[in-house]
Amino acid sequence: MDRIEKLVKNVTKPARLSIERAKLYTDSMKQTEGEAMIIRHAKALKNVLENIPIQILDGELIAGTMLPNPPGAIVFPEGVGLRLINELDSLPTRETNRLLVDEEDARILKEEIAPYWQKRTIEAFAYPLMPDVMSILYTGSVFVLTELAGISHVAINYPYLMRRGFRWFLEESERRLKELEENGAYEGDKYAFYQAARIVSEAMINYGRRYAELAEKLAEEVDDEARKEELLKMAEICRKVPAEKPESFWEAVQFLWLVQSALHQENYEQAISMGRIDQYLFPYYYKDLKEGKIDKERAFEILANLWVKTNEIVPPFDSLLEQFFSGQTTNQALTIGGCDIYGRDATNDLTYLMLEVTDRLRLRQPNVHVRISKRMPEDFLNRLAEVIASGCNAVALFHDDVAVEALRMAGVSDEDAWNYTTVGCVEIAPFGNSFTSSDAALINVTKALEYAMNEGRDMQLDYEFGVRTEKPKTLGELIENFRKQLSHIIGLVVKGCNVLGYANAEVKPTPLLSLCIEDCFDAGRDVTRGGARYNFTGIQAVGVADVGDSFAAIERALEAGYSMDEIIEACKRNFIDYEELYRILNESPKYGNDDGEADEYTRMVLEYYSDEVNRYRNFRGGHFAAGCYPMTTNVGFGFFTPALPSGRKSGEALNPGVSPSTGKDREGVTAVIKSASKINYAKLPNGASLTVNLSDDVLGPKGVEVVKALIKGFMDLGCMHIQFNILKADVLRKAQEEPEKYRWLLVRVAGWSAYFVELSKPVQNEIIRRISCRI
Amino acid sequence: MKGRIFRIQRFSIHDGYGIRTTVFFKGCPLRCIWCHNPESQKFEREICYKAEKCLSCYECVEACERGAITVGNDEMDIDRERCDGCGKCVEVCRGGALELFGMDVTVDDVISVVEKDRVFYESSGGGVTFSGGEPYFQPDFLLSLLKACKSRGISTAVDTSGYANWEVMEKTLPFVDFFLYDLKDCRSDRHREMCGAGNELILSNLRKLVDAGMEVIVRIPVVPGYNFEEGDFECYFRILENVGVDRVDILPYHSLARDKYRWLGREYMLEMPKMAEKAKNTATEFAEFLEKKGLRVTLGGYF
Repeated sequence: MDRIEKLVKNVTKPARLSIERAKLYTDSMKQTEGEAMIIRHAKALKNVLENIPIQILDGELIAGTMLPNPPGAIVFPEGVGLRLINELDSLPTRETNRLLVDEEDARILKEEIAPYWQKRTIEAFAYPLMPDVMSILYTGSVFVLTELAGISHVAINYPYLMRRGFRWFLEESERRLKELEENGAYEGDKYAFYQAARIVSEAMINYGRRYAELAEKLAEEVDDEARKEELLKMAEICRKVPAEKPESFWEAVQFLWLVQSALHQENYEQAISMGRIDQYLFPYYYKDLKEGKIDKERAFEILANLWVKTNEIVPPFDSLLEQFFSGQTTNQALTIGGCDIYGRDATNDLTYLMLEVTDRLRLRQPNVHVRISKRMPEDFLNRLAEVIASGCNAVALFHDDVAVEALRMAGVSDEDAWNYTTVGCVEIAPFGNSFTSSDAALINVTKALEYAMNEGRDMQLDYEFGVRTEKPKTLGELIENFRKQLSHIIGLVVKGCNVLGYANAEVKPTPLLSLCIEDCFDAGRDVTRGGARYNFTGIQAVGVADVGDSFAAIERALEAGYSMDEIIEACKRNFIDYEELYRILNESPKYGNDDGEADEYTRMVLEYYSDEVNRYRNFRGGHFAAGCYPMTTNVGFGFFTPALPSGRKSGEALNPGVSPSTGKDREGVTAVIKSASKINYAKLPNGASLTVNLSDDVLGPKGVEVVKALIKGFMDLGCMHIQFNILKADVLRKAQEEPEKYRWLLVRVAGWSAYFVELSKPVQNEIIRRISCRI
Repeated sequence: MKGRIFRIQRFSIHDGYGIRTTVFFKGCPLRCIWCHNPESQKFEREICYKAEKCLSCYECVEACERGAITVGNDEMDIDRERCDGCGKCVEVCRGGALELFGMDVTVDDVISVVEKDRVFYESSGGGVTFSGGEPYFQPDFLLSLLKACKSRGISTAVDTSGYANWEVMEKTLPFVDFFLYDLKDCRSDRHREMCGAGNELILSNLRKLVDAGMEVIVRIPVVPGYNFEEGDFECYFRILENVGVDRVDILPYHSLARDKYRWLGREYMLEMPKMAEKAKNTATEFAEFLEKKGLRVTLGGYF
């Protein structure tokens, strides 16, 4: 375990801003002006993989640093990476998520890299196509569009890659090029695609070879015999993979990691996920065990090494994005457990082992997502409950039957639906043959309510971002207005996503990623152009319970004799001078208490939302998929949202995902789960997050039993996703006072884990409020 | 038929097995000075006043038809003698400072809440716990509730002080799965002093329950200097051994109820330095002592 502790220590060092990738990528792009875009990006990636400084850290069994001298953030100037440029001076000293910046690097970034990209980013391409959408986007209040940064948000089909190896792709590209030539190369885009595939395949092979050579060199230098032997073994492995098919467990994990780290040179660091890792690694593990080539301890070390390495990279968010996506996490999800393609339980020894690794390491990354079903072994459920109750907040649970049904409803075949994987924080997607752009946008649905009350205008800024609707007199009229406003906002977002989908295809094709998703290579079509079998664009609703609670509250206030005008005026004035009305609104039934009336409104809001979203087609030939989770946009959006009839005051956070509004759940955790079970998950093929906070003080020695019962109840009730946060409020407060002492403190925030001390202050306060108001 | 309760708490995990819903009855024949649910003691409905939330809008003064609320120096004065718990002041309170304890509900009212967490009773081996106050203080209502639960297949527990007529208790036995049974003091004279009545009836009922084959978990609050003094470990044990109880849950005193007394306009009698710490130590020692004697012991309701 010494080895792992050392590696963990290394990734918890202060992070740096790394410009090496940006520099190499930009250098290449400068030289290839005028060539086919996909070829240019292939060459740029090749330049990075063949020239970026590489390292094998002391004690590592798995080679491949995501960036030189990790941990740190990589700049992706083609996306939104250059937003940082005006904040370079404050990055090392800002309140949370500091980044060390080298002075010379800052100069290069400003003088050599930034000017080149100014008119070549995805944003520069998209803006003139939709200035209306962009001007609303820039307010940060109504929606966030993430394809501005690139695509990412996809699970990599590692089993498909591991059955082939990159030499196969290299040779197969050449064969297909020849085939095209024989036919007169009439399909120009394919011709370019396979040329790009050839370039990146070669780059991947060379990338592995560089590590092999480095390992050999280090082996010569090292005195320790045992380490020398390890390094020589690593050299042998890196000579083989990712060029060839891996044949052992160690080779397979090394293969995976070289691809994973290379993908992070091409695609920005969000939600490049590893898929059903316990399933596809199991055959290698089983074979090695049987042949005596490996034991459990060695496998543990190798996996732990992999887990640690996912923490090498952090996002380079600027201060605005910090609010919306706080926590410095990259959301590399991996999925363990669950059923096979026929719906039979597929839990295996690696499922247990990976849970063990997660429990022992308790790192921010990877996002460990456990698929569960009633068919899972009781023994595994026990182990899972133990791990969760002990405070390991890094795991989240997905209920197979419900997730599968949602995907089926979205048109996914039975087999592909059962073989779903998780992506990012809470998204679900057919594994290996889909590109679901699962976090393409997040929408503040309370804005539709605000516009519905205010004739289509923003209450604070007075911009007319909505459509003009009549001032409502009755709840029925208000709800009708809300639907219109919501449709209008979704329309804008859909347009935004599709224009950005087009922009990505034109400006930022992803030739390596296109090899990693089945069907793209066969079709000779880049993933940004819809090369995958399933193409979705996932957009999330934020604040659904705030809207549902508002409708329930308005009903009460109208009954009590108030007029709609008074309610609207009270919201505009943040309830100042409206104490009595405020009390009625605030004390009306709220979602999260298993109250039929309030829950029904929230369910209704989310159904309007998902029906509207799911009907649109996307740029890549698939359609839009509704989800409901916030990252931390519920805090960011909330900041720009006026008081709502639910009694939520101006600036306060919105409710996250399908969890209740902060502090409004008074009946305990079982009621929260019951309320969440009333949501129609079949219409949420992009996932929905439910976070349940439990106080460690309350659970005491009964924790395991209670968590287990809650998980079982959660399945019985037909919920989709749940994550437990087991915390003590006083610990969080101490952590705020003395962050240095609590760097280890991991919390789950809406789908992903983060170190508490690295969250922004408003998000920290939000979490404390959530924890401390529970029983 | 209606009964009077003051709270129904879902997701209770300290009042019996699994995940439970606890129904708190209002009214208790005993007056234990350490009681941590003072709002449960009187059967009459009561107003609780949280001065820290008071906006001094004086609406309550107007609303009270009996003139029980007057403007005091820093806060409102409530004449508890005059107050009849009608709750009109609570309705107009803007700050949420006033709260009414005690609501009259039907069996169906209670069952509709209890039913909500059925799925979690099943997944955890939990059920409903009738607590208080003293549930046997409203025997007919309790019996109806117990019958209603059993007919719906919901597991039941009664958390009782044992201070009740045996005849009343006996009638409920077919509908109770287990008892949480308080043993507040091993010495009757001290029991009378601390709780307002001796422990003879309680001990006799306890013996009868055990003899009737009921599952009984005895709960002993530990309040050092009050119900625990030198040599009492042995005294408690002799009673348990004598009756034939083998399952004990020890509840160390905590001071969290202090605010509640203030809100109810009552005096808190147990203000003593380091009491909670002492109680924790004594409780731990006592638990070890009983374990050595071969009893199954839990601390703080975790079983």
